[in-house]
Amino acid sequence: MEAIRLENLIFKYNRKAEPVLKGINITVKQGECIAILGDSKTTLCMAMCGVIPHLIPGHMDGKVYIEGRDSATMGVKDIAAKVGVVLQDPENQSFNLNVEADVVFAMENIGVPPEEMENRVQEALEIVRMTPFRYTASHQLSGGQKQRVAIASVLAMKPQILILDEPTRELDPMGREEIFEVLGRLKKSGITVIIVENDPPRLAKIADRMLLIRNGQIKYDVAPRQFFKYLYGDDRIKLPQVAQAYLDIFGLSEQTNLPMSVKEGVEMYGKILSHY
Amino acid sequence: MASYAVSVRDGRGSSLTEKHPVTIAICCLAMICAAFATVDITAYLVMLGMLAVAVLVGKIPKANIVKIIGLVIPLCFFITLIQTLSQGGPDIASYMIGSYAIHFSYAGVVLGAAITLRVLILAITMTTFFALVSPPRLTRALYDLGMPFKYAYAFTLALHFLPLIINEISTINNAQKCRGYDIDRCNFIVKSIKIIPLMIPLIIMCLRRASSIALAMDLKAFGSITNRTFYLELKPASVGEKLTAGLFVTGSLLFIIRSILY
Repeated sequence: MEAIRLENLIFKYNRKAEPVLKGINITVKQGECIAILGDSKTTLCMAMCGVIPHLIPGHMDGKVYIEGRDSATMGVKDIAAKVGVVLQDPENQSFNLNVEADVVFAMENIGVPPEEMENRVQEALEIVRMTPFRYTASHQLSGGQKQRVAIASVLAMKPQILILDEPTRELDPMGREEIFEVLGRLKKSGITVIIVENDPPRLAKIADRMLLIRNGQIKYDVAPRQFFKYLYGDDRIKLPQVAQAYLDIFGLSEQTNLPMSVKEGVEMYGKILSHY
Repeated sequence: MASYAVSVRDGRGSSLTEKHPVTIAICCLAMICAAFATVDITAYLVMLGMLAVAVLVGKIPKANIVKIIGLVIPLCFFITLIQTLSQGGPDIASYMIGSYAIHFSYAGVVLGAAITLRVLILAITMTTFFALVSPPRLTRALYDLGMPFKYAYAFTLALHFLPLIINEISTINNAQKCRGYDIDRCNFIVKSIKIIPLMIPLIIMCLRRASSIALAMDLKAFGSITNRTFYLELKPASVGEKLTAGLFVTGSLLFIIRSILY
C-alpha cells in the first residue's frame, strides 16, 4: 500500500519565479525508507507533509496524496496526525521547559486522551533512548539529545510516515551517529521514513531507495548500490569509502557488485585475493 | 499519571509549589497592592516577615532572593538619597559644600527607607511567585480560567525564547568583535550608538527563528483543535487555599481603604 504519492508536482515560490520542482512523480510504499539528495529537497519535504500548500505560500500544480487522500483537502491537524516531521534545527523544535513536556506537547495538540499519553511517552522515549532524561530541562541537553527528543515528540503522535529534513545538519559527529542509530531502529519498526540528508554513505545503510534531484527533476530513483554506481565520478556526491576504493581499483562495469559496508568489502576483497 | 512541576519530580518541590497557581497569583497580587497602598515601615516589615515564611516553606533557593536583593539595592540607595535631599523638615545632618548647604532630612530618610522596603517587597514577591509557579502550571491555570490556549502558552514560549535571543546577541557580538567592532570597551553613549548595527542582524535572526518555531509548532498541530487535552493535571484549590487567598485580598483592601481615608 502506498504511503505518499506525488503526481506531476510543480512548485514555484511565486508565479513569476522559475519552478523549483518540475513535474515530480514519486510513490513511497508503506514501511519503505527513502533518502532524498540534491536540490530543492526541503521544498519537496514540505510538499510531502502538507506544509505546501497549507502554510508556505506559492504556486503548486499537481497532487500530493497522503495515504490515498489529497493533501490539499486535508487539514493541518489531519496531516500532522499521519505525517510526523523533524526539522533541521533542534533548538527550534523544543518549545517547552523539559523533555517530558516537549514529548506530550504534540499529543495534547491532537487531543490524545491523557490516560494514553503516559504509555506513548514511555514508548517514544525508549525508542530514542532518552528515558533517563525524561525530566531533564531542555536547555541542559546536547544538540543530538535535543534532536532525539524532537523525534520522540513526533513518534508519540504515532504517525504512519516520518519525514526528516536534514536532522543531523546542526549536529556534531557524535550527535549524527546517535540520530542514524535511532533511524536504523525506526526503519526496523516498520514506519515509513523519508529522509533528506547530505551524507550519502550513512543514508545508504538505512535507505531502500535513494533519490537524486537535479534542476527540480528526479534524476535517479534507485537502490543505494545502483545509485552509487550511477554517481561514481560525480564530485558533488560522496560515495561510501569502501565503494569508492573498490571502484577506483577495479573500475566500473555492468557486472560490478558494489560493496556498501566494510563487512561486504572484506568479503569481496577476500574472494579476489583468494584467486592469487 | 499526572505530571506536576519539574521541581516537584526532582524532589526540590514543596507544599507551596503544589498549591493552585491562581491562589498563589492572588496572594502575590494582594501583597503588591498592599505594598503600594501604604508607606508604613511597620506594615512593610510584617509583609517582609510573611515573605520570609513563604521563602522558607516554599524551599525557594536563598541565592535567588539574595541575587534579586543585590540587583535592587543600588536603586534603593539612589531613591533614599534623593528623598533625603529633597524632603523638608528637621535635618539629621547638614553640610556646606562651598556656598551651598546640603540638608539630609529626617522625613526623607524615613520615606526613602519605606520606598526601599516597598521595592524589596515587590522584587521578592515576584521572585517568590515565579519560583513557586512553573510556567506550564501557570499556562494550564490561565487556560482553565478561560484564556485561549494560544495566548496562555505564549508565556511559556516567551520564557523559552528569551535565552535563545540572549544567545543570538552573544553570537552576533562575538562575530563583530572578530571584525574589530568592539562595543564592550566604550562609554554608555558611544555604546548606545554603536549597538545599532548589531540590532539589524539580531532582528533578522529573531524573525527567522520565530518563523522556524512557528513552522515547527504548526507541524505539531498547535492550535488546530479547540478541545485540546492536557497531560498536566492541576489539583483544584482547596478550601484552605481559597481562605488564604481571601485573607490576603481582605488585608490588601484594608490597606487600600486606609490609604484613601487617611
